[in-house]
Amino acid sequence: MTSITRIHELLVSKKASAAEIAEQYVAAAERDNPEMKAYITITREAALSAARAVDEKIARGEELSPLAGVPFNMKDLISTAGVRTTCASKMLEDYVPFYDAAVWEALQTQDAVMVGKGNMDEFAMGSTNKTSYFGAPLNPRDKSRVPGGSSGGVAAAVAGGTAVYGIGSDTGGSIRQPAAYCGVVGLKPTYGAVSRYGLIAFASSLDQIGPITANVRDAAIVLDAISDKDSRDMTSRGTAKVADRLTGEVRGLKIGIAREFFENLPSEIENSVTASAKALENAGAQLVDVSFPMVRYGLPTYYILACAEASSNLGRYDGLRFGHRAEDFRNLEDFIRKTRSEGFGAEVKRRILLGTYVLSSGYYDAFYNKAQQLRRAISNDFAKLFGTVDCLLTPTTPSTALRFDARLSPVEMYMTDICTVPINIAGVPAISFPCGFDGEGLPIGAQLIGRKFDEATILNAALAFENATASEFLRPANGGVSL
Amino acid sequence: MKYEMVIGLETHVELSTKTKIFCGCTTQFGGEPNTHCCPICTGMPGTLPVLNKQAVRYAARAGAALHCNVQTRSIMARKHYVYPDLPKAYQVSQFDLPLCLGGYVDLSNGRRINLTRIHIEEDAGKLVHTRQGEMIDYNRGGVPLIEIVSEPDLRTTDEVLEYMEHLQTTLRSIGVSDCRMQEGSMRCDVNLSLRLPGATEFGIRSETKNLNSFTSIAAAIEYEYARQAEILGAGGVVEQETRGFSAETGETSSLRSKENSDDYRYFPEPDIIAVLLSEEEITAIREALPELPAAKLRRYVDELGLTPADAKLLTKYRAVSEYFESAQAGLSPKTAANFIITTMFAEITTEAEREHWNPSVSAQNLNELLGLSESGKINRATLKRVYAQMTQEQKPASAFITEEDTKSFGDGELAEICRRAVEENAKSVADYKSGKEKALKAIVGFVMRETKGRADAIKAEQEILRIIG
Amino acid sequence: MITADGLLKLASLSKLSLDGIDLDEMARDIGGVIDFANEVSTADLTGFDLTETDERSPLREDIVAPSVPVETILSNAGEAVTDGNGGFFVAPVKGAAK
Repeated sequence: MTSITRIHELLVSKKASAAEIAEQYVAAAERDNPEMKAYITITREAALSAARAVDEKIARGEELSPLAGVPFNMKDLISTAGVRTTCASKMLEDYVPFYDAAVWEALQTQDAVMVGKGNMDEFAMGSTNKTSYFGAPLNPRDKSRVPGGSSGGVAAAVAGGTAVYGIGSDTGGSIRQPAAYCGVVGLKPTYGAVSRYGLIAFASSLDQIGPITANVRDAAIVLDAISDKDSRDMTSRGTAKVADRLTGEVRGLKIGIAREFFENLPSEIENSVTASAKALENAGAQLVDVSFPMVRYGLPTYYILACAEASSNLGRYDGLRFGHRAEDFRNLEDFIRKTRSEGFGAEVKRRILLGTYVLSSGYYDAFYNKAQQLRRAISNDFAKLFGTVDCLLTPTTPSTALRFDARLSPVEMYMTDICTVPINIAGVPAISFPCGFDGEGLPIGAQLIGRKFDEATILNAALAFENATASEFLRPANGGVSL
Repeated sequence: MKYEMVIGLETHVELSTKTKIFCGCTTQFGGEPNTHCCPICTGMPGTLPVLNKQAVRYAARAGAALHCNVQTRSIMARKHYVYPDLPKAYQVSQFDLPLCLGGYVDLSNGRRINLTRIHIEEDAGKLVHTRQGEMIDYNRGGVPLIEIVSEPDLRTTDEVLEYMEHLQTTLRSIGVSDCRMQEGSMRCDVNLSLRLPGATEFGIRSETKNLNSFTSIAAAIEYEYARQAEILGAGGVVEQETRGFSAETGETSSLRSKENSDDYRYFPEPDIIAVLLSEEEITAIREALPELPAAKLRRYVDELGLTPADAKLLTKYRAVSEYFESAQAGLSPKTAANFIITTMFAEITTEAEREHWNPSVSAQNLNELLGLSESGKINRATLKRVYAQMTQEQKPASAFITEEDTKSFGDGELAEICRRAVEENAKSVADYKSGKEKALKAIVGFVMRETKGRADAIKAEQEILRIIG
Repeated sequence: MITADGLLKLASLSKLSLDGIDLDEMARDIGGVIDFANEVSTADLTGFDLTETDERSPLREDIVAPSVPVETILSNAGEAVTDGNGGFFVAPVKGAAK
């Protein structure tokens, strides 16, 4: 797959112009989108205009930032002034923000070229991207399967060659899981590494923005570009720059293998992830058997906290200042109820009701409060583990990409997040990288989990794996641009 | 009164920070609708709160001034309810762990009104009723508030008004709010229940919200007492409910009853969570408090010998008390107090002028002038004349005092004039001797006229009495 | 477990209408998730370190920043009216919207 480094090289060596590259990606996106639906909005004019500005810089002999002129897909819950930001919901179908998210500001200063806004699960709630009001994107690896969620459209664009990289968000696995399903790299930085200013909130204490890329080095480059501390977000801390520190060296690295993550796995996934552990061991890392029993409470803890915060964050969608408005109503209260009921899809409604339930008096202690305590227990257990090992290696998902026609109950659906949610609960960073394919050619992802603000270690280990396997698992899918 | 009133107050006070609690929009009163707004205070998707440092400081200062325990760690929480003036459908407030716990207000009748807590929260916008419909203005949305919650220790309307006045005076004196009820920077909810005298258990209470003047508070209490007394008198049960007050009708009416009350679903605000203050910071805030009005009032009465009424007038506003203290330096405090209250206050008509008192005569210059009067170097008439001149031109007293003015009548000269007065006012002397005390004034008047007002009237009176025998 | 009635109460608090929705089916779905979430009640936390680590976030200085022009503030509103140099959001009261 085309990488950021490759594009940068082409531009600097003047083998291609930014305008040419942008045109190819925008044209591919426009051509593929009716079927593949990786985008909700394609911003042709803005992309070409940004690309032309890069060409002018090149002509003036100015230095280019690593992301200059590189076309990307921005998940459609990140605020882009003047460009509609829908969260894949009817509620915000025509909502045009008048301010930029911190992430978008940062990328614009680096002359990034946005091809368009990426398709996603509605309000980031889902693991298949099937809840999008604009229709579900297809997995470029196999069009009968979902790309994963909630950043499904973003991962599909990168895998399908209509974006070189993507900016997604991850609350319970929404970057890592689609990355695994689509066979690309997905990084969820430490909570607080990337500013949430302008990220339309799902679960405030869990959401984090991160890159979806063709390879590990690209993920590091993008992280560096978006991880400055931001005073507009009280939870923002920033994180150290990593791209220049990547060595691919893992000698002496202690990698924890927590057996609880390997229970009940299909053999293909278990074998693949175990093989990746072996590859890292051969490269000099030390594998350590560890145990993390609290992990079993990760999912219920996550769903309680996430739904509670979601029910709160989505209260503001009432049609009074922006967004969908009901047309037929008896009074103000009826207007608000109808607006919300018409504007939100079923999964969003379910989670709002659930969130209201766990916060309501009589249930708060048993559910929300208990979940907060579990959260602290899980976080502190992670911290303890990182006293003995430097990172953990687990599968990213307990299955490969689901079929579109798979019928799962809500709980069965939630269970697919089992390996990813504990990471969000604790706020630690994690990266998913392709480590194999199953019998049907579907990608398998492995996950490395690191200490807080130590993205460098997990990026480095993932890079080591890439090197050790000669990038065998970074295969482009059909479609899109190939440079 | 057949029943005893049990009253607790929840008072909301807008902090006089320059900007709102979570964004940099101005808090200035009276802007055109929605011109003091930004994505944050209008609750646009993707926005985040950033807590105003000064709001925390002011709130802590208020807590210190009201004798609370200011907490090193308090938690912001989301309080959920739906109303068009609340853009996020939740108000960021404090629930489990507020900024201040405890505290008290001492009343003049010797009773102590305990406070439960003080917490920080954001104000909502305003719903404006117009002919075209309900309009929403978010200018006020996000202005920082403190909510001061009292224990149900108040028993009478007078106590309630004194308590509110105490809050006003204290909070103004420490500069955290202008407490202008008519502008909405201070409002209160009255929780009122009745019980038979001597009873120890509380009755069921009603809550009357958003009272924004002392007259409304008094009227609402009166109405609620009568309403609840009638219910109880007929053997009924008072419903626990929230009520609103109408200034036009003087009545309270039900807004919602307990069954329909909101479940606020409080939980810690994940975008902020903890408000942290070190012990050192809290100590510094406490130590930096100016002398509070209550303490000042006690000092004016106990040490300076002023009457409680005069002391109250002078301690109500910091501008006034500061002026008074400079003006009375080195003199008898009553001199300055009397002059300010009788002469200077007569020049102004509004409370606002008193609050922002800035007389044309500086305290220093007044001090000099009053000193001259107190030491007898000038008399009352001269004092009055020179003061008037000083208000026109910003110059010290000496610029307006002539030699004539300070001419003192040597005791001999005065005695001579008094002797003549007694001689030429034989009838008045006779009247005085036969019991008409007022006749003395006529003789003194003669002396004053003869000396063109420059004699010391008291000395003249003494001398005349001495002559008469 | 949750009843259809309980569901309606939740819907009322959440300002959602459940008209046209199969309440029993939704009650089953949501009930299933509640039971799943209730797994947390089995967690025995004795002996666990539950200390909170508060990090001090920098607070904002009390310096006025320019507000956003009122036209922009109102730009996404479905219904707004100008008023002098300002403007209002209109809260719909009754009837069909225009």
